[in-house]
This record gives sequence, C-alpha cells and structure tokens, in this order.
Amino acid sequence: MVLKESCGRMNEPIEMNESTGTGKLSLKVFGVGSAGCNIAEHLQKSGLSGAEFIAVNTDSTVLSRNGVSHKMLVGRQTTGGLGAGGEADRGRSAIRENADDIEILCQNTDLVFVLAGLGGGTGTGAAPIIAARAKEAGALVICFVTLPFELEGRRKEEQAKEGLSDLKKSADGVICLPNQKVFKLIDESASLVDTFSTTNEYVAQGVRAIWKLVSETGELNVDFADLRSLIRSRHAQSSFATVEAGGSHRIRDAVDNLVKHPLLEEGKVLSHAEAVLVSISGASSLSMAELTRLTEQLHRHCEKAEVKIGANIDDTLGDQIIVTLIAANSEEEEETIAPIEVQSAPAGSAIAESEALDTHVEEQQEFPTAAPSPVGKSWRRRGKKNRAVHPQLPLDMIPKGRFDKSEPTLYKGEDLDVPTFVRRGMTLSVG
Amino acid sequence: MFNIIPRIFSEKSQIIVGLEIGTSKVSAMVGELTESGGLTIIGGGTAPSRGVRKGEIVNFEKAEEDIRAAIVKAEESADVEVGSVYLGVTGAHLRSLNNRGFNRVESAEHEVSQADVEDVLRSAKAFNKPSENTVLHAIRQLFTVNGQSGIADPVGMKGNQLELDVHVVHGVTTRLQNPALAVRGLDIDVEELVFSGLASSLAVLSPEQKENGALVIDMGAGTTEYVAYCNGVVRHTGILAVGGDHVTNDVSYGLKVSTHCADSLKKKHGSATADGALHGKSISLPNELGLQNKQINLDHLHKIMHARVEETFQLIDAELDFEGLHSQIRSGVVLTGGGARISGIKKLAEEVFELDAAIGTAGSHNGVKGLLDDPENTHAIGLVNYAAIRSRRSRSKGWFSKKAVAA
Ligand SMILES: Nc1ncnc2c1ncn2[C@@H]1O[C@H](COP(=O)(O)OP(=O)(O)OP(=O)(O)O)[C@@H](O)[C@H]1O
Ligand SMILES: Nc1nc2c(ncn2[C@@H]2O[C@H](COP(=O)(O)OP(=O)(O)O)[C@@H](O)[C@H]2O)c(=O)[nH]1
Ligand SMILES: [Mg+2]
Ligand SMILES: [Mg+2]
Repeated sequence: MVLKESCGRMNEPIEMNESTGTGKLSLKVFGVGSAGCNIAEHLQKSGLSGAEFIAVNTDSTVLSRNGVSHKMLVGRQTTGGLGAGGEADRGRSAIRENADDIEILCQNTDLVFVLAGLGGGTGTGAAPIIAARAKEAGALVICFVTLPFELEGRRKEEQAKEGLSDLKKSADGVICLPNQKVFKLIDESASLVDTFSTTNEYVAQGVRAIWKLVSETGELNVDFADLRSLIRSRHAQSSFATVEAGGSHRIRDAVDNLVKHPLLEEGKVLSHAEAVLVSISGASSLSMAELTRLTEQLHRHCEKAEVKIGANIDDTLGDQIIVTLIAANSEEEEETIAPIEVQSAPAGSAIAESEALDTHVEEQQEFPTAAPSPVGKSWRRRGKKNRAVHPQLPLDMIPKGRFDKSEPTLYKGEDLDVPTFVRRGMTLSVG
Repeated sequence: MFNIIPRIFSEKSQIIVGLEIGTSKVSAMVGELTESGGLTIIGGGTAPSRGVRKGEIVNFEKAEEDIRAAIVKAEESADVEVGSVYLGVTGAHLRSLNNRGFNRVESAEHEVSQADVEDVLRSAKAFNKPSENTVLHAIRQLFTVNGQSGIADPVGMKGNQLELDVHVVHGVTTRLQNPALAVRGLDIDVEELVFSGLASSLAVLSPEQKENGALVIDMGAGTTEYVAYCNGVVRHTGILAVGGDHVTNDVSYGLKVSTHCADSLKKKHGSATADGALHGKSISLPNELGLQNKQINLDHLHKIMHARVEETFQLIDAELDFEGLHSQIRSGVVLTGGGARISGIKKLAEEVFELDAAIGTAGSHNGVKGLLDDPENTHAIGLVNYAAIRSRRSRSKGWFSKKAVAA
C-alpha cells in the first residue's frame, strides 16, 4: 500500500518503526493531497528526527514527483490515480478504499501529524478520515492545515470550511494557517508559489516545535501528556506562530513579536486563548529567569489561558532564541473572533478606573523596601545546622522562579527566594 | 454538627464574614453569631487567587475578580448577602513589638476606672514608629497595678499607677490599604483589618492552649505567619514572605521540572523529612502512556523540601529563642494553612522546635464540617472568630447592645 514508486504494489506490508515502549515517542507524519505532500517533503528535507513520513495522494503523477520516503496512492478504484478533481467527496471515497491500511499503519504510534491544504479534493476529503482512523488506532492526532487564499474563490473556501469542521470532529487538535494571513507577512509582489513555500515553512516550524516540545528531553519539559491534555480536551482550532529574537531584550522582543504576529491576529488569538503551549529554544545561556519572564509576560496577553512552557537547549543558536507558541481556543471563543468583529469598547469610566488602579500598583511596587525582618532584631541559630553558603552563581542564574518579579524576601541580607538547598550548597548527587 | 436551631427559632443573630485574599486562593467564610454568643460557620466560598504574590495584591483587576468569585460562592453557600467583611492582611512590611503604657490613676479614691484603662491603652500604642506606618493592632496583654503584674482586668482595683503591656503590630499604611481598596472596589465594606496570623491562631487554639503557651504557624502559599501565646496572651508575632510557592519553586529548580509538575510532586510524593531511607529510590513522572518517563529521585525531592521547610522553622525558632519564649510554650506548635499538609511536617516541627506539634484546623467550631476540616480555611474562619470576640465584648459592655439600642 505504500509505494516506493508511484506504481508499487498495493498490498505489500510496509516496514516501519513502531513504538517499542522503550520510552521514545513514535511519530508519523501524513502529507495528504498535493499541498500536504509538498509540506511533508519540505519537512523531511529540512529534517525532523525520528519521524516517519507518508505522502498520501490520489494523483499518481504528482505523487511520483514527490520526494517523501513512503508514498501511498489511495482510491485507485475511485479515481484511477488521476486525482480528486477538486471534489472533497471524491477525496473521501478514495481514502475509504484504504482507510484500514491507515489504521494498521498507525497502530503503536504515539503521535500522528496530518498535513493538508484545505480547499481541494484530496486533502479536504481524506484528511478527516485519516485523522479519525489514526485516532481509532490510539494515536494522538494533530492536523496542520492551510486555508485557501481569498482569490481562490468561494467554492474552495466553503469546501475548506467544511473540511475544517470535519477535522475538528475527528482529530484531537487542528492547527490552522490561512494562506491569506501568510500573504500579509511577505512582500506583496510575491508569487503564489513563494507564498506557498513560506506557508510550508511555517507549517514545518509548527510541526517541529511541537515535536521538539514533546520528544526531546528539554531543560524544562512539556511532556506528551501535557500536549495531549491541552489538545484533547478542546475540540478546537489552534493557531501558532514562531518568532526569533536576540540581544539583551530578547524575551521582551520575542513576546512583542508574538503579540504583533499576523498569524495570531495581532494578539487577538492570545487574548481569547484557553490554553497556550510555548516552546523556547536557545543556547545554554538561556536562564531560568528568562523562562519566568517569558511566562509572566505572555500571561499578561493571555490572561484566561493555562500556559505550558517547554525549553530546549540548542547551542548552535548563539545569542538567538526561537519561541513557538500554540494557542488553543474553545469553540465558544472562536465565535467571538469570527470575521465580523464587534468592538466592545469598555466604558470610559471603567478605563479610567483601571488605569488609576494600575498606577496604584506601580506605586506599591516602587515602595522603598526595608529589610523585611519581622522583628527587627538579630537572631541566632541554635547551632544545629551548618550555615547557608552564599551562592556563587552568576546573578541571572540565581533561580528565583516565580519570585523574579516580586519584592525579594530578604532576611538578614539573605535572599530567601533563592532555593534553600542552593544557598546551603547542598549537592544533589545522583544515586 | 450544622447547628440549624438558631435559624429556626430566629433568635436575633448577626452575620459575620471573614475574607482572606491569599496568595493561592481567596476564601470567604460566613459565620452566624447569635445574641447569646453562639457562633456557627454557616457557609463559605473559595476561589483561586491570581493577583496576589507573597500575601499582597500585585494585580488589582485579577484580585477583584477572584474576591468577587469567592464572595459569590460564599453567598450562595450560606444563603446570605455579604455587605461587609473582616479582612485579613499580611505582608513582609509588617513589624511587631511589645510595648508598655503608663497611666496615673487620678480619681479621688484611686480606683481604676474604664477611662483609666483607655488612657493606658492609648499610652501603650505610642511608640517610635516610622511615619509611613500605621498600627494595625495593639493587643492587650496584662495590666500591672502599683507594681503587681499579671492582672487581666484592673477595673475596680485600688492603686495609683496603672501599666499595660501590649503587643503591637504595625505596617506600611499604603500596603495595608491595598487589600481594603480592592474589597471596597466591589462595594463591600471593610469592618476591620486583622493580621492574618492572629486570625488563624484564633481559629485553631483552645483557651487552654493559649493559657499553656502555644505557637501557631500558618504556612500558606506566599507567606508564613506565626503567633506565640504565653499565659493566655499574644507575646510574639511575625511573618516571613516564604511559603509553599517557595517549596514548589525549589523543587522545580532542583529537579528541573515545570512549576506545575513540581507542585504535584510536592503534594503527591513530597515530604519535609528526609531520613535517607529512600536513598536512590526514584519514581517515574506520571504519564498517561508510560512513555518518555522522567525519573524523579525521591530522595532529592525530600531533601529539597526538607531544606526549605526546616530553614523556615529555624528562622522562627531563632526568634522564639531570642524572645526567651521557648520554655513558655508548653502546649507546643500548631501548624495550619495549606503548608500543614506537607507530609512529614509535624515531625520536622517537633525536631526543630523540640516541642510537640499538631496540625490545626477549625474543627472545634460548629458549622459546615467540610469547611472546618481544611487547614487552609483557618485564616478566614479566624477572622469570624475575631469579629465574634469583638462583638461579644462590646455587648457585654453594653456599648452597642441591641437591647440598649431598642430601649
Ligand atoms: N498536600 C499538600 N502538600 C504540600 N503542600 C500543599 C498540600 N496542599 C496544599 N499545599 C500547599 O499549600 C499552599 C496553599 O495554602 P493556603 O491555601 O493556606 O495558602 P494561601 O492562604 O493562599 O496563601 P498565603 O496565606 O500565603 O497568602 C500552596 O503552596 C499549596 O501548594
Ligand atoms: N502551503 C501550501 N498550500 C498549497 C500548496 N498547494 C496548494 N495549496 C493550497 O492547498 C489547497 C488545496 O490544494 P491541493 O493540495 O492541491 O488539493 P488536493 O491535492 O486535491 O487536496 C489550495 O487551494 C491551496 O490553497 C502548497 O504547495 N503549499
Ligand atoms: Mg493564607
Ligand atoms: Mg499566609
């Protein structure tokens, strides 16, 4: 059923790595339809370690030109290898012929990514069924899809919408990238092909970020269970964006860029988000304090959201950090970011009041802070335990976590926000 | 347990609400105080707190939302409308000291009058405090009449020199006002501000424990308050801006896990005692699929937690020593607040303080059992106790008694 050549035998079992239960996650990436296959090819070329790629299409000519390692021509009976002709119905019938194969393929797979360009026939019709079968087989299924350009016309748009709603029903999570939004990101004079390749790269970034998040043992781990619960509990559409930043204000810059990002609708997506998954990569200079800052600053933009953050050390990055954010919205909130936006401006008095309160908070934070010893008298220890060793860590490495922003807890000149075991110079030996 | 009788017989009663704006949760507890002085906790509501760090509000908008949420739940649970609250306050800015006031008894017969008591109290409140600070409490300890100390009520005694020891708690005015502002912003009156440690102690201690001497430690998420009673009076209070959040942060840093994960490790597998018995033992982080296990060394987890909680106790212990109170605390240590749930914390307290230790709840109260059993609720319930004590006292003096008003 998988073709090394576009005309290979249909019933030959495929040999693929299966989840061995050794602790490594197994991932299969399905590119569905021409767009999906192109994105999969791009992803495989640019590298995604540990993943198996399968290109699925109804068009044998297009499939034969594709460079993905495993290919699967579906719906021979229905389409005769000639494509779905832009009809989602034909895409659906085609994949039904091979749906069992998909399910078998997905057994013992932890994570399945389904990539497709919605609006056409194969991707739109087949992706939801592939997602459903993969899920049936026990995998967590996340779909990355593009939506057509406005200029591609209403029909495609309608078809894409239907496909999206099917996907939301069958997959665990759908991450959606409208080509039109990508258009905004690049030069106006860019050709359609340029735009496609930009979109492909965006989708690839999103896939990589999620995969990195769950597969690599990061410094700060977001594990598969986190991803699963984030995505599974919400039959919703997610958005994502990736930004890079460098320099001494890199966290702030990254957050600024995320908030401004067209793919996140200039922050609107964030403010409506229910759950946010963040992956940050940086060289080993990436500090705990920066992670805390990132979480805190993001939190301001997505107040309603549960924020999960994962970090990876990649020493090739130098000064740069790469931050990828995936925001999941509930159905309900999706309505509020529907095409026609109702601007609900708060009443003038309400603004004035909240501003006044903000100033108040500022004032409080600027309050001169005396040493907060509660009694103002010296104390002595009864000599049972060795005295704390003052930390020799570089300043920005002193792990204060969530206290980074609050008034430090100083006691006799000692910063109690720094973990006690660090100040005591305790070593946590392995064994 | 839920004493419904006063409501049925509609004895005149008063509704009192205690509000804690804590670092991890906002909690509103509703008490019903009958005319005869019986107190029942008839309901309460709790909401997660997002606008508070180390016991103080850092985000007003969120704090107000959370306060409203807790109040609404309390209203539903107790079927009352909340118009005013007794509000608990805390923060690293609070200071405390013991102070003594003097007063000459000027009356002809040299008999101590109520007015003399007020005068000596006023004198006791006077001390050299920073101008930006306000006195939150001047808690009466004992009177001395003509050199005879240890007198609880001097009114009617003969003498010409009256002295009164008080325990004073004061703090930065603006920082004390912040939580009150947030509450008033919701159109709810604040009856009184009460030091949160004092409130918790009122909920967990029996009169005998106060008499015999006890140390109450309320370890919350952002702060740890402590109050020492000796011979029935408050002798020492303090607050450290260290709490469960610090424990979680230490674990998160030490074991390289997310805060969320550290918090659940702390609660599910944590311990404040590290006896080395677990050496080398580890658990796999719970993961739905049993995949990609991260091994957590339990010994490390416990050592990290032990270090933090032990240090916190040692700081308090050193203060007790300095104040010379150690030998006067014969009933031992009572641990309350969410931190009291840390496994092994009782044993650790016994080791550090060399005193008996117990977990304190408001279990001796009448009321809704589910509310009384949680150590997290002692602060807000204690605020209700505080109000009830105030109210009973003023009634017995006839100041605001309803009868007097009706007459
Ligand atoms: N089983 C448990 N083991 C360890 N810690 C626990 C447990 N249950 C709750 N906690 C901790 O107790 C703290 C919450 O306690 P509590 O509700 O008394 O705090 P708070 O009143 O919100 O904070 P504060 O009084 O400091 O402002 C949290 O840090 C929480 O992690
Ligand atoms: N990002 C991206 N989008 C594409 C590409 N090719 C087509 N699309 C978009 O995907 C939609 C579906 O096209 P296609 O994948 O060719 O249809 P299918 O093969 O029948 O599913 C189109 O309407 C385009 O918006 C591509 O290479 N990259
Ligand atoms: Mg508390
Ligand atoms: Mg507290």
